[in-house]
Amino acid sequence: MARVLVIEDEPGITLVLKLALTDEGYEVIASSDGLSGLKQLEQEPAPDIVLVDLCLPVLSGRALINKMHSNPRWRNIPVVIITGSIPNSKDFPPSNTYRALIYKPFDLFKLLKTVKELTEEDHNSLNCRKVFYQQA
Amino acid sequence: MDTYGKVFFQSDRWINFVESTALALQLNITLIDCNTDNFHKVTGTCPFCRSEFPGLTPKDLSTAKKNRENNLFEFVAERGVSAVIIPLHGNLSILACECSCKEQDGRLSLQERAGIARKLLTSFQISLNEGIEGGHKKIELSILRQMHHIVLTLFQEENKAVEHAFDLILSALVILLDAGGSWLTYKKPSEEPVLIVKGDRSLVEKYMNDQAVPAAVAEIKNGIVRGQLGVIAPGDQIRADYLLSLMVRECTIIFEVDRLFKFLHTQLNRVLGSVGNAILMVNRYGYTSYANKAAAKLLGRSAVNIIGRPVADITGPWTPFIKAKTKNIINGQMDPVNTDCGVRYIDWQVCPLMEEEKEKEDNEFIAGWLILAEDRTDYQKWQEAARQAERMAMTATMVGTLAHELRNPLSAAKGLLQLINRNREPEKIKGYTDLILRELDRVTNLLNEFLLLGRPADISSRPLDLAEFIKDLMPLFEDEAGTGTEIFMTAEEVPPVAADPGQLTQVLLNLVRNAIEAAGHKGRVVLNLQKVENRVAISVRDDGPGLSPDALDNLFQPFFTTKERGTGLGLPVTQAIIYNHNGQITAANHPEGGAVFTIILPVHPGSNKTGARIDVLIATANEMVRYPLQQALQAANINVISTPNLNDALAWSEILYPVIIILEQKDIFPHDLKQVQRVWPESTLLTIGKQGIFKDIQALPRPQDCSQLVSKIRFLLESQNYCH
Repeated sequence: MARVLVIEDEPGITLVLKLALTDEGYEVIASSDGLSGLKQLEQEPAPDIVLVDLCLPVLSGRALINKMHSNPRWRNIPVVIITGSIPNSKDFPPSNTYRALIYKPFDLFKLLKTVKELTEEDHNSLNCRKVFYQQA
Repeated sequence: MDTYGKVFFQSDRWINFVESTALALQLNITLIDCNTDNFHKVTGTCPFCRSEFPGLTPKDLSTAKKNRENNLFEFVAERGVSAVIIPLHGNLSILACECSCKEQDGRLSLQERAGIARKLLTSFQISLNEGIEGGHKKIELSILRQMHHIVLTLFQEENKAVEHAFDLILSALVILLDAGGSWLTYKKPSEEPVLIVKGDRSLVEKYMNDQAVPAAVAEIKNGIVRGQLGVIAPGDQIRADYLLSLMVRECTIIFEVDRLFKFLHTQLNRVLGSVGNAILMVNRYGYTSYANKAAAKLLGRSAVNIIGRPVADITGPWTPFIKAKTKNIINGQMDPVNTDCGVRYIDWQVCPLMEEEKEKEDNEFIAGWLILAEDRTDYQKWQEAARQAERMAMTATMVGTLAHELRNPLSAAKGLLQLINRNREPEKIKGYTDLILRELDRVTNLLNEFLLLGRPADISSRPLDLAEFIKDLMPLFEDEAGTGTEIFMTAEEVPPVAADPGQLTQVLLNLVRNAIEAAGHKGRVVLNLQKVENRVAISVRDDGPGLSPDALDNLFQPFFTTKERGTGLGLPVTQAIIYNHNGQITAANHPEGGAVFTIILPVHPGSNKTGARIDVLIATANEMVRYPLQQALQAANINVISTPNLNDALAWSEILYPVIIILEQKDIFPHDLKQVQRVWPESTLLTIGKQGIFKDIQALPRPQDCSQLVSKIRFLLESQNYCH
């Protein structure tokens, strides 16, 4: 089953995501800051999808996403941004670097649905560029 | 004794001298020889009204004699005027009275002038009698000095003084120099020369037209008036010269000093009047001796109502330093002072004025104080407005940050609830709901703390004795510290501060909690209370690891926290509260390790004792007591104010001064009683309840009938009035 990397510093949310995703059968790895998230990415095998908060200690979500996008190893891993911030152009990574933008507090089931769609889509299909949005 | 008798009544010199003295002192003098009952009336007309002095009758003379025998000096002459009998040497007396015209220079009383006359005349008697060169000189000088004194103390008007001074000078010369006669020419610029002649006129005339006779000449400078004084004393010109120059010099200097002083005084007033800063001078006894226009403006009173009053009448920040007789210059910024137009904020300075006394050991003592003050109330208002604007701006950004922060616990709670809905396993549900509840609590805390930050200054501040206050909180702190951490307090004597007890408790609790956490198990937390210039400093110190540079920079930023479970709002809220109290808070690493947080608070401006006086203050929540008692007191024409809340009453301490305060025992704790006694130290406290519950406070039984209580209160009020 697919591997999910969750990078979130709020433990309550991490717990919810872990419980829900594990229930669905995913393998969940959690990191609580940007740098350890990056380290997890470097492990083998790479995750199939990354759920990341933008406000992270040490290394920000935005920086991490940019790194992912610029590394051919990780470029194709779908990124789901889960955030409490109101979008401000300088805080946000460019729109071609993520596949979903979800605001907190999120609907858990909608999120699970998004994760399912992103992990099951055909990587070679040209529809790969659809971006999912979820308002708070 | 015989010599005296012989000399007087025959001696022109003596008569001349008495005449001059009488004129100088504005007295009507009659010489009496008590042995022979001879008398000699010396002056005839009053120099002011030009009328004859009231004549003396034989009855007056015998009364005078009797008085003299009985050592009584004052009596009323037959004509109804006050008279004084002045005993001289050798059974001689002088009867002196004033003219009834009363157009006198009223500075010295009849008795005082008679006293001066006595001194002069008796000295002269001695000098005449002795006739020794050395003796003469000493006495000459002393007589001259006494004449200066008369001239200066009696005559402040320059013209009169000059004339009389000359008259005296001349008389003295004639008498002292054994000159048969002498004359004085005084020439003012562009005026005809004035000629004053004394003594034997025939002798004088002989020399008057002889230009060859040497003359002593001196210049008189009396400010504007300048002139030349020429004295011809054929008997002994050299001595005339010497004495003249002495006399003139002394009179001149004194005139000049007097003039200069008047000039300086006017100038000083002009300068001080135009200065924008308030200037007050306080004398060594603590009374205000000068206040300039700006001071009157600042205090909202006219200078007349400030000068001559104790400086403590003005509740200013300088009062404690004046009371303590501090020898240093003390400054303060933006401190409050109570004026008749409300509270003003001033930058001020108090400077002790030191005097050197050569005889004393510690040869400097305080002759008075100079207080300078600049009204910064407008600046204070502007600062307050700026702070408000800053707070509002801060609030705006904070709303954004708060919203962001709130989303996290809400998200977790929502997610968990959704899981619960899907999952029916009971154990898991309990686990999830516990977590949800915890997250919701977090939301509540965040909101509460956030709201405190945004709230404008809404403090009910009253004078707080910090040592007591912190002591009362120690059990709470010790509880927080538990058995692992040691916590104690050190304090020096500090004045009360203006603070809201509830908010201050929150602040101290926050700092102490942080300190306890930093100190850890077996660590120490120390609270210290200290006076710093004219403020009070509270510091909380721990012996933990201290603060990192990152922490020092960001400590007071909202949402910055080094704790796992911290909201990051404790210190910003603390700072906001202290800010609202016009204080400061700083954090630093202590040189011996650990962190120290210091709060600085301004001292309470001091209660205005001239608050409105009311007879009775009733503070009890019990309406069954409050209403009937209030009605009854009002019916008895006793002015009363009542309130259900003692704290509200305490907040009125600035403007109210009750003679009697009535409280219900059930409502209050010893702490409240102490507060009341501190705030109104001179009021009588009565409690309703059982006697002996509160030591030393009179208790009244619950009144069945208010009239008994009212009469007791009336009795108390009346006895107070009687004492004051």
